[in-house]
Amino acid sequence: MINSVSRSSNLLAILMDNNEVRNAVAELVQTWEDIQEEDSRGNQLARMLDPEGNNPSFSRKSGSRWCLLSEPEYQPFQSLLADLISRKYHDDQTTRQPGAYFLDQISIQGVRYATDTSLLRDSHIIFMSGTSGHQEPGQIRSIFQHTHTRQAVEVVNVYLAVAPYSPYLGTSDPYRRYSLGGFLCEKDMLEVLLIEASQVISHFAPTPLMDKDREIIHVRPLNKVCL
Amino acid sequence: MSQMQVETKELQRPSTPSTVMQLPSIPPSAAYQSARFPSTAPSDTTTGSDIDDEEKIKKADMLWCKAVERMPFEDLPPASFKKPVFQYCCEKLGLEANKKTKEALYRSLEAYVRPRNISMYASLLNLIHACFQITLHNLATSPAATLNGSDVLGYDVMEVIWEDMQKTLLPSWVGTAPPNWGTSKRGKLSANHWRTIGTIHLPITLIWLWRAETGRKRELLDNYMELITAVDTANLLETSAAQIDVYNQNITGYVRGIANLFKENSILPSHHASLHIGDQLAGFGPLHSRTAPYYERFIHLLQSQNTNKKFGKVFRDS
Repeated sequence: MINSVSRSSNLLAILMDNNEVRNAVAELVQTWEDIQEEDSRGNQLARMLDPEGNNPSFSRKSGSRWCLLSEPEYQPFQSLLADLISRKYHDDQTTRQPGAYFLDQISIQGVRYATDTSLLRDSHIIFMSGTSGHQEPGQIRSIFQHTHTRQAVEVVNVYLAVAPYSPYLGTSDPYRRYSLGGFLCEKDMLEVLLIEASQVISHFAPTPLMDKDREIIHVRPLNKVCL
Repeated sequence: MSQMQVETKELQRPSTPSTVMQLPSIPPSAAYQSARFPSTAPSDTTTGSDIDDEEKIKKADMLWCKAVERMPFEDLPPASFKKPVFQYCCEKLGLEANKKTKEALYRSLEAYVRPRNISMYASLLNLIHACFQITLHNLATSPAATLNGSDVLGYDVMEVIWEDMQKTLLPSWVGTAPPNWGTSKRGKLSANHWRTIGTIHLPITLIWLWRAETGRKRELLDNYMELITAVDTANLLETSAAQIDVYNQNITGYVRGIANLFKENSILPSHHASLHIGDQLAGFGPLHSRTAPYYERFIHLLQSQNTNKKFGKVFRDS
């Protein structure tokens, strides 16, 4: 085992120093770096072990495809994006690219998030709402990377189209009694809204429950970073 | 033991499950009678739960017959059954049931049934069947009555937990727990399984199930949630003075709670140790750098390395 680890270290050193070898196995190097950035257990150790912050806060995980936002299918995102950017800067001095890279999955600070159609388990998120300032549960419908230019500086950002769950309409939520018990919400979803990747807080585990005759959802946030 | 195994081979195995039902005239107890024939009341007064109980008993009866059918001859008593079963059988036959060993009880039973020309295997099966029915009847009619003083989760609660577990959608990085945990068939669970069950599945079901409770169950739930809050807070990847306060408050409340709620149990060294984790968080930061999973991950990393037991070549730049 020690031999094997030593050999891996040798290989890593060669890959780091020898550009010729590095170019010859560029695909391997890219995969290696992706694995280093990823943290499949969700404990974000990759970020913790990188105090200088060299790892990007997000990385594309798979199959990106370039799409024009003017196409009918993506037009809703175009208007949502325009709203979001104008709200952020409070002016119109921004040039937006006409298209975006649409993704199935993305790694944000070492944790994988995915659209509901590609990986349902990883599509439920708790996010910080830009309007209310509260944490809300929702489901990811689309993920795309878009670039806009502001004062001659290119800003690349990842956006998530999220369908939030409606707040619970019952009289009392027994889960609210406990700080880490989670909370209830309605099964119905509200209109899709656009958030930035930095607004994503964590995954949550949804459990359908029956409240008398109607189905509700229990939300158990799974934030492993802080309260 | 070897002599006993030889003797058991002499016994006759019933050819069909129905043989078991026709066997010797050992009077079943009143509880057994009520279990077999649970409702003599007119059908219009039979409640839904009575029907459920009857169906459960019928279903279990069928399962029992199937189990007997599959039982290999080599696994016959006494090896197949535990001491209380033999004690029960001796008691029912009016024999001395306070003997020390299972073998001694088996010998008493054998001494009783042999001269009477009754098949030992058949007699035992019949008695055990009755015993099984009574236990089942107790379970079906009053789950709480079958629990010991400090036991909390009965079969009825476990069924709801298993059902909710199936419906809960966990992210891919959370290790899923086996769906039939808590049964003897499943056996032991890993620490990660316990963590998923304890911090995610149990709170989801228990809070919903006991939301209207006000007595001991509410106290137990509050106490349990203090533990879960402490565990989750201690395992966060970042820490702060406020989080340490939350941990200390909850773990102290939990330990005080168990002293009040489970008076028959004593405080363990692990409870005492848990009271010092707040100090460790304050002194050394988050726990992920020094808890067992950290080392477990290293072991996993080393184990997943492919090796061919050969030394690697040393590359040198010319």
